[in-house]
Amino acid sequence: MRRIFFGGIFTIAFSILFLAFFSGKANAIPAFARKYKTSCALCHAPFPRLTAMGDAFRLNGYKLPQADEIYVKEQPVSMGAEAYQKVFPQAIWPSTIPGMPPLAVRIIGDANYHPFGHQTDRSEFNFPQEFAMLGAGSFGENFAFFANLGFEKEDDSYSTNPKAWLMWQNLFSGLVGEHHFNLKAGNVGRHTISLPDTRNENSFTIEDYLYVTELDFDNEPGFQADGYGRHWRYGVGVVETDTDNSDKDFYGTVAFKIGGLGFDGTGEKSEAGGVGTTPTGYWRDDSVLFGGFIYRSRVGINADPYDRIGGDARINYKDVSLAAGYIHGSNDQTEENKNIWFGEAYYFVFPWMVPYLRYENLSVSNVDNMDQSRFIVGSAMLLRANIRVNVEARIYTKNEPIEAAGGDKQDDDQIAFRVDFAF
Amino acid sequence: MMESIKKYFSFGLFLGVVFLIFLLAFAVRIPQAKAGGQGGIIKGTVDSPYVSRFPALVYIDHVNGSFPPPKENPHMSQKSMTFRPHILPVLKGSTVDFTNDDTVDHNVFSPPGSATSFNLGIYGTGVKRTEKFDHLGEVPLLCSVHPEMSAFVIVLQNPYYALTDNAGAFEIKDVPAGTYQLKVWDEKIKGAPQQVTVEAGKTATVAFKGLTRR
Repeated sequence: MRRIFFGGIFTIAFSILFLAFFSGKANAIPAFARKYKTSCALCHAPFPRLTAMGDAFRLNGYKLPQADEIYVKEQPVSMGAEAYQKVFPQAIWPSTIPGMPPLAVRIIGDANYHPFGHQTDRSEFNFPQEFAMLGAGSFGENFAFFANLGFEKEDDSYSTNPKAWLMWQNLFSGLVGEHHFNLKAGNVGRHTISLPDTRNENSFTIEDYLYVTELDFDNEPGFQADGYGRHWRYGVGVVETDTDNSDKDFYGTVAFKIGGLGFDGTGEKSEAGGVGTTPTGYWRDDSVLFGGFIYRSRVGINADPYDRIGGDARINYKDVSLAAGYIHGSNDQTEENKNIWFGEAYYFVFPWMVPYLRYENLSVSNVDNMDQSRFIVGSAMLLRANIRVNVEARIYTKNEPIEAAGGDKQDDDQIAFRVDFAF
Repeated sequence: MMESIKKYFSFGLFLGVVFLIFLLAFAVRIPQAKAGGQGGIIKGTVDSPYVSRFPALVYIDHVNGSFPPPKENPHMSQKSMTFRPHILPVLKGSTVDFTNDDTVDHNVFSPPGSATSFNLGIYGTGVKRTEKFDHLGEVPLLCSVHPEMSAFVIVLQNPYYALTDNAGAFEIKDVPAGTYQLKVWDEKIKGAPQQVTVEAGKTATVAFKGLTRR
């Protein structure tokens, strides 16, 4: 019995430490499904893409908007009764921790096939391509945390990409309003500054957005202030990319939403229903979103400072979602100018079947043989709410880097099959 | 003389018809009268481990007489992202009030193949919508906003039913004397109907066994 007790304590402690120091790329967190005894579909459609409710939940520090406590089925552990607020500063401000460690696991496996070009190795199996342990939740009303330990396969080894942050919400709410000023410390950077409406971490395609892979965004440690209202949200941050000097990177992002569920979870949806009608799918959120970001790196890559600026827009109407984005990147020393634009569409044929199409174009001035353009076409299919498979083709219509190296533009064409599940 | 006899005969016939009508009317009222306290009791068990988690509804399939729906509508609430109650037996013709008692939007609909197929649309906090249930049988309830939510309206012909407790025991009181088909409904298991004879003032015992997964 004693061994079991200490074994349990050790496992929990190890898991927490593990999560605190390592992380990767993943953001579907089934621990919340357990906490609220609800389906993944409340926040994801298809996972990991967030629904409007999922986005409101995320922005609210992993709490359901308006009255979170009435929905919690797995009660938290008190770190002090609420009445201790009245005793402060003669007592620690009361809080809670999750009743059970809010841990979840996500595993991704890929099988890739290269049908064209001059590749000698035409097929590859990567199981798992990614393995991630996730933890997230809230400490009482005004603190939220996120931690992610991820391993991603690169050639024959696995790399880790740590990510963890702690957020203090509703600072100065008496002065500036609720939700309008939050402070986040930890790995912020790309996690929050990629295009607001086509966030890479919100994507359910196999292929990352070209703008993310080409513009060298990464998870960087730093501080971010952000806030949101019904129709808007913003974030400004400072992060460190080079520990050898005191120069920092700065960024800002802003987004607006018209229609649909507000960023703060307000805005009731109403439908009449009636005989012979079918209910609207939970994924629907008829709305228009647009946003942008700006990023200034004083450190840069290889001591080459750079700027990134971009904007995007998304229209959600019934079962269709259309989005387009443009990003400009310029480097101070190499004078490399990258312009990337893309358009994408996806359509909910069924709640479990979502085909998609994306076109991306990269043009680079001042540097030769860098241009690319490609189509991403495929379909996501949910076998269960937490098990997704993708079949996806990546087809290049222009691929100058490969051609300049003596290859064929179709060398990078790929048909991929992915299994992605979380629990 | 003959005229007097005819008059008395006609009057006697009239009284006889009135008496017969009174008797018939009384006979028709018998089930409801007995429901008021002169009937028997059906006690029993549903012998399945499932009922400790998924209570079964035991009900008489058909009882002679008419059973109008209650004046006050049965109520199904959506609260804490849960339908409450999980099983709502109602009399045929009942109108059920569906209320959103949460702070999030909800929907209520029944899938195709239900005894009554309907969709109440999506509505917010404090809103009440209603649906009339005119067909006997099972009506699963779903919420398109929260896929995990589930409940059942069971539309019955008569008010003689009971839900099982954790041990699978049930008791139906004030059942009119007679012989009936007793049925069991459960969202997970199914079992064959049983015949039961109820005598006024007595208790009939029934055990549902050999239930299988639906």
